[in-house]
Amino acid sequence: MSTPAISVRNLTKEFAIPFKKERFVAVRDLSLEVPEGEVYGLLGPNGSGKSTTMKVILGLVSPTSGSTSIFGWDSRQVESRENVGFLPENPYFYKFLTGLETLLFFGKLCGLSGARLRERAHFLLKLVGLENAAERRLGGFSKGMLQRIGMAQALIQNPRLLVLDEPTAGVDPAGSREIRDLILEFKAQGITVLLCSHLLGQVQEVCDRVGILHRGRLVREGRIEDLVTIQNQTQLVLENASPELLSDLQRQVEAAGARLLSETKAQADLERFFLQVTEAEASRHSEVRLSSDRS
Amino acid sequence: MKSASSAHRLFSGGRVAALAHNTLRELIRMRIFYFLLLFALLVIGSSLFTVQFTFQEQFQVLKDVGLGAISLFSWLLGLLCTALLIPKDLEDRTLYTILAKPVPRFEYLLGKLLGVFLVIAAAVGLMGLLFLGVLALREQQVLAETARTTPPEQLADALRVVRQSAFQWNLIPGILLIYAKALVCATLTLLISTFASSSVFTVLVSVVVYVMGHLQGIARDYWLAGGEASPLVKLMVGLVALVFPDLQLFNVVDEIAAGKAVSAVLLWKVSGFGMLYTVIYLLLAQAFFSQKEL
Amino acid sequence: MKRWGVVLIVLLGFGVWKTPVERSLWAQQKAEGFHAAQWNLGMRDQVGQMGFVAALGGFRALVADVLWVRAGAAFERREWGRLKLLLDSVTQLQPRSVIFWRMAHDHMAYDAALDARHDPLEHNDFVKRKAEREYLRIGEQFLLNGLKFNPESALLYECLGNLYSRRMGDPAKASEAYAFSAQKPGAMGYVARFAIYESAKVPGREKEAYAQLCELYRRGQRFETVIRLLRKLEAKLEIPAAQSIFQTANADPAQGTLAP
Repeated sequence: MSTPAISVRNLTKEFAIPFKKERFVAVRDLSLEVPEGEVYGLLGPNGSGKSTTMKVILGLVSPTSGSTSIFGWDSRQVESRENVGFLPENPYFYKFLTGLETLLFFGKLCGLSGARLRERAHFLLKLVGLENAAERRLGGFSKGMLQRIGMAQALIQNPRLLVLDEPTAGVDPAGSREIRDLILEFKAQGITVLLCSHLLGQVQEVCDRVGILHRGRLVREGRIEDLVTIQNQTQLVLENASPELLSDLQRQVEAAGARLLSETKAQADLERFFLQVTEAEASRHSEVRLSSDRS
Repeated sequence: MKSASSAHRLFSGGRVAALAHNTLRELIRMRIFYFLLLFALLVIGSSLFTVQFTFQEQFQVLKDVGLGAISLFSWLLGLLCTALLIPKDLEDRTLYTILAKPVPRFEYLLGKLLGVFLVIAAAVGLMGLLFLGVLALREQQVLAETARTTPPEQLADALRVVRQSAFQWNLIPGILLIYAKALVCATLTLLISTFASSSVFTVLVSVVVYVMGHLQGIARDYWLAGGEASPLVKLMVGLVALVFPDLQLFNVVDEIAAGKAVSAVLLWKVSGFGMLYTVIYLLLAQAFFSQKEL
Repeated sequence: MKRWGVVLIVLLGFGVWKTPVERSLWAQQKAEGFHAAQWNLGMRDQVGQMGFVAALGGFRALVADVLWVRAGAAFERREWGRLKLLLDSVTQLQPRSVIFWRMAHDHMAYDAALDARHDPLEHNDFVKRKAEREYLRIGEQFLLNGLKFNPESALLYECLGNLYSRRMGDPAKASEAYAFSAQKPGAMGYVARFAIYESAKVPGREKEAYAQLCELYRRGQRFETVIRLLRKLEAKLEIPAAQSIFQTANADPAQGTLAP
């Protein structure tokens, strides 16, 4: 039984409210475990304690009671962060640094240096698609570019655990897809991912397990299929089905004592459709340019 | 998939250096640095235009203004840069990204402080060079003027008088002690910023501390001398003497400008003591910062 | 709260430790001649609230300079009383600055004193001379106080010599002052001679002065004043012509006479 990537035991966090006696309880007796190699989604409405839990795990805030640990290291110890990469929501970095300088700075903070650090920085810039912006100051980056440099910075020291807070917030669908693909790639490489997101569709696509927080408590937790699969409902997708076949099926269903709940035309994923259209346009545009260059 | 190969080092000079270098870059790109520097340079340069005095008075004024400007602006620079540092990182959330890396909070403080020390060193260095340059230039002008107007048999004496009142090597230790004082004040400001609720509060308290630091010597003498005073007064005066640093120990430039030299022994002692102040205040800052809720 | 407790304890503990160290450093600095300024509340009238705070904050010299500029203005307006107050403050703030003491003395012993002597509004000569003497005394006091803080100043001793010699007519004191000046580092070449010139004027010291002047002559310092005084003293002391220095010394034609 290997050490879990994240272990939260009976975590409670209270904040003092100025001028008031009672305290605000952000997280209440929370316990969860994320084994190594899993992609775990932490969900909940605003104010549910998601970011507080994340901050405690990352050692930025200390618990009122209970404990958290990363790969066995207590979060309050600095060593626990050797293996973690963190992508904050609305990542703010020093605006006056360039993309490359940012990665080099954070790499040095992780103990990397020299040619190895530079190589890694360039590799990561390419991975997130920012190699052209390496010499541009972050002050001029768009939101999507900031997310991407944030992702690169989180990966700088090859962490075994990634904590991502709203990684695709404010990013366009193409970028969003790339980030999702990256997460799946990390999963394939065995990197553990803790993901907080409001975009439940994306969570459903990448996460193995989710936990739902509400007012500081973990109210539901489990594998996605277990949670959202409606056991007693089956979906069939038919191609070239004639109306006679459909009414025949309906009769058989009712004869067997089941119920036909809905019959609609299957719909393609809007996102996939959008990407198909935009990618087609993009390649048509470059063909036109190539031919005009040649002529 | 390998993780970071280096085992975690308890204290890493490389991490601190990265933070210090980054702070230095940040501060130099802040407009306040240029504004203050320009102002100081103007002040020093303008003291060239005190032509209505005799040359001895001119040199005196030039030295007083130059050293006074370096003193004031190095303090102000340290104060403003430090008071804005941590709140800015907190506000921008860049602090989260940094501390999410395996960086002990103490290294963060130390790195920031060293960055400020480097900025002040750059400013003092520039102002000092300009000041000494202007002084040397004026000295040459006066020497040439004197050579023209003095009869030859009195020339040697006259030139000697000019040289004695102009550039002296003892000005450099004076500037070093000004720098030491600025470092102590910057560290105090850092300490205050770790428990203060806003930048404005930090600046105000730092100014009060600066003034109290200059009165501390008087308080100390009064407290130790005994004498008649109500116990409450004695308690307050005693607290002032104990809590605040004695900043007057660094104020030797007035006599240095008038030609007095400071011995090497004294220079080392005062500088060393200044560094001790800095270390204590840094440790106290860490005491607050380590528990600060982000 | 606990944190504040720990911090305060450390601060106070450090405070207790550092107090004797600070005292010793302060004493050492004073011994080396620093922190010479004297404070008194009367200074606040001259420098104002801001000036007082600035002086306290380490800009003492600048405050002194500002007062100096004001002193210059008072001088131009011949406001001798105000000028004296300003000069007092300036020298108190910057006692190590020899030029301030010197010029304070100049303003009082020369400018103010002469102005008092030639005051067109005062017809009583006695009153005028009394005022002049008063200013001379004030000028003398500036030099003496200046020497308390700058005992190695050749310039201040020289000015004192000049004052006694030219303005107060006391050759004994003048000679002593010049002699002190000659011993200090950076003394002008001529003050040693001036000391001898003055002692020549003191009744009862002519013989000693004559001997010293002869020595000067033998060493080739044959200034006009030296020669003149030698002749005068030889007449006074009734030195026979055969023993005159002009006969006995090796007359070197290469030595010209130089202005003293």
